[in-house]
Amino acid sequence: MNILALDTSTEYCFLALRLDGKTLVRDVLAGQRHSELLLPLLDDMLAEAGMRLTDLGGIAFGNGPGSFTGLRIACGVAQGLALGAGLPVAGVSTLLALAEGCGGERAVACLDARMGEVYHAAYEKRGGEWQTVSEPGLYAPGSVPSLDGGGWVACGSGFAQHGEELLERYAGQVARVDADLLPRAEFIARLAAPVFAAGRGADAAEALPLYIRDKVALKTSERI
Amino acid sequence: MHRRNHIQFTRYLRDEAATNALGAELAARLEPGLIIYLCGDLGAGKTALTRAILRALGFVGKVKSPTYTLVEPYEVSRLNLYHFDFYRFNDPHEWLDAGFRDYFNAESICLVEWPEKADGLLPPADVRILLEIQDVGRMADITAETKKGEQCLQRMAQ
Amino acid sequence: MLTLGIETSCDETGIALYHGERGLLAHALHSQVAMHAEYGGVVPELASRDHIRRIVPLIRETVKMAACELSDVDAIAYTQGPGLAGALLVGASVAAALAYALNIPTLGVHHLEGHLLSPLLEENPPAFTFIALLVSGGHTQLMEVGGVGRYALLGETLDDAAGEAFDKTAKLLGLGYPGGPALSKLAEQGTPGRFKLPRPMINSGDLNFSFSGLKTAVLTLARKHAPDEASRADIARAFQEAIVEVLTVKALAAVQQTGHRRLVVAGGVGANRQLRAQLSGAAQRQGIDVYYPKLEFCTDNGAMIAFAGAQRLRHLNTQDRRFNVRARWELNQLEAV
Repeated sequence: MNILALDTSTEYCFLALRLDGKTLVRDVLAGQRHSELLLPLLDDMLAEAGMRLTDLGGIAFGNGPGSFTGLRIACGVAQGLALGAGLPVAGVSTLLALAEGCGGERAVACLDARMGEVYHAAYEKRGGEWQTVSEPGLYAPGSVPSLDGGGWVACGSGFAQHGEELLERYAGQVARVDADLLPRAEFIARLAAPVFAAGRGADAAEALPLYIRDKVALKTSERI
Repeated sequence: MHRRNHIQFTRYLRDEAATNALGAELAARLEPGLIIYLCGDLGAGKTALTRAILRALGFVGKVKSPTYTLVEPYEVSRLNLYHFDFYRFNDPHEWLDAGFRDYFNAESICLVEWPEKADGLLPPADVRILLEIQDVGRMADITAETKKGEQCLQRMAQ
Repeated sequence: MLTLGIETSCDETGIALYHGERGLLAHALHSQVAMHAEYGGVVPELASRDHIRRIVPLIRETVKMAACELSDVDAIAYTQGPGLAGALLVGASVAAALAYALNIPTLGVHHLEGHLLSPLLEENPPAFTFIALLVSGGHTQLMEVGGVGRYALLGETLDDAAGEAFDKTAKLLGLGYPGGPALSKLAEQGTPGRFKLPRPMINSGDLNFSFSGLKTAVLTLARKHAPDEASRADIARAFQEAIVEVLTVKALAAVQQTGHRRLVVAGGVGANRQLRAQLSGAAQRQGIDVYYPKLEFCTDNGAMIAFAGAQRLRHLNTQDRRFNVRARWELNQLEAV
């Protein structure tokens, strides 16, 4: 199954087209120009593959956490493409994307959340599937949740920004640090592949960002 | 964890020209990542000083109070400047709900009116400017609250 | 040509389908007013979060109401600015991606152009050239509208918009958010003439406005008479009279100065009953035709964006897939069609 993945949660514009046997990617440092780059890059990538949108089996996007505006660009584009082409969507956590990309079996992922805080989650691979050990959350670096045991790969921009404090918290438990790892679209595509294969893709209207602290969502769920 | 302030001085702003002069001095020293609190009562001239800073940076459009929108963004002179006004918040926690996380970062300059309305949750100021009505003009009390703030104000205090 | 219009510049998600020959086929709106009320006004990030939840269901609803299919759509117009950057970006992202998927052109529309052209959605539209008084929470302007893209700014507010002055004054009088309509209602119970507020810039000789000083005057009055319910109504009355008089005098002056005998009143404040009564009375005496778009086209809506976009897309064949938004965008930067 052919899968398109997008991520604009960081200052990069990441796209990936996962085809049978190979994956095409586009990685561009976008700053704040994601909206100008995203669709032309997609068009170019589809042309390279000799494909059209309707040849895809689904559209995946990095749903967060990350820059709020960035999350909505990828989400809005995923919604629009899925609505127009009649495709299912899958939102994939940017923290899980880091875990997928880190090359280890135990990952503690931290993204810089600004204002002296980090988005944090921990995952462990069991039976070839990622299990959530610590749910995505927003923390001061000194108060991230504790982890059991060792062999953790510490990954993501949180470790570049607050490495000292975080590594002190996980003293003796971290096997390797990859602070430069980014939530690339190829990781997102890899994670979404089994979702679409199992027919668990969502409707375009259900593709929404994961902000972590979200009063709007909270209120909606309170109403239900 | 508040450090002792080494730079603190006052300026009397007799008229608009004096406000513009202070705005120009501040504008010349703005660095990405800087957070400036603008304190003072309604009508103390917080927006007027912001306007003076923006004019000095070369912004020619309208500079209006962000009371209605909470934040007015400006891209001027290769700087991302955000002008906030939190007057209408009733509780500091509303500030957390409002999701301003994207704005306070190393690349942007934030000028904040009514920071006390988000007290305890807002990132701390590098520079705090207190404006008070005095006679026909305004008294500006300017304090550096961080190392970064000190660097910004260094040559102004003399 | 069938144009889908998408409006997300502030706190309303508006979607519409406009057909070149058959006119407006359907439009749908989701207002966020209740969500923002608790914060005493619009919170930009919350507005963006709501737009992205509503936009796809609203598009589907509109298409269904129009009894057509998405594949029938020939072009998509979205509000590119001015407005809240994050909110605009939601509409732009979905519009551009949907247009790409449908292989049809997309175009960013100026929000105020939408408002200025909205009277043309009505059955008896005014002919060009007309004068437009645009009064809303974000804008107070007098424009000369000579055609699509032919706009001359005659005057505007130098500080607060009229709707903003209504909301702020309502807050001073303890009326909550959005206070404009509540303030008008309270004003109806007030005694005319008990208090007299200044008419800012009424004799300025130009067509500009200033409303921020009025709230200071209201504050002074309110502090003096705060506990008294009747006084609050009288203050509301005096405030509304001041705003209405200034708007009326300047709008008619614009008509006199330009010699165009048609006046269009657009924007949310255009729904104010006292404003309509006073303007219509004065205009009738002077032989001026006044046009009020339907209330649903006065406030933000997708129909005006679909319509304005359609006027431009007829003359444009674009395959540009980039999209962006402009939080600040002067109307005079637009090109005439």
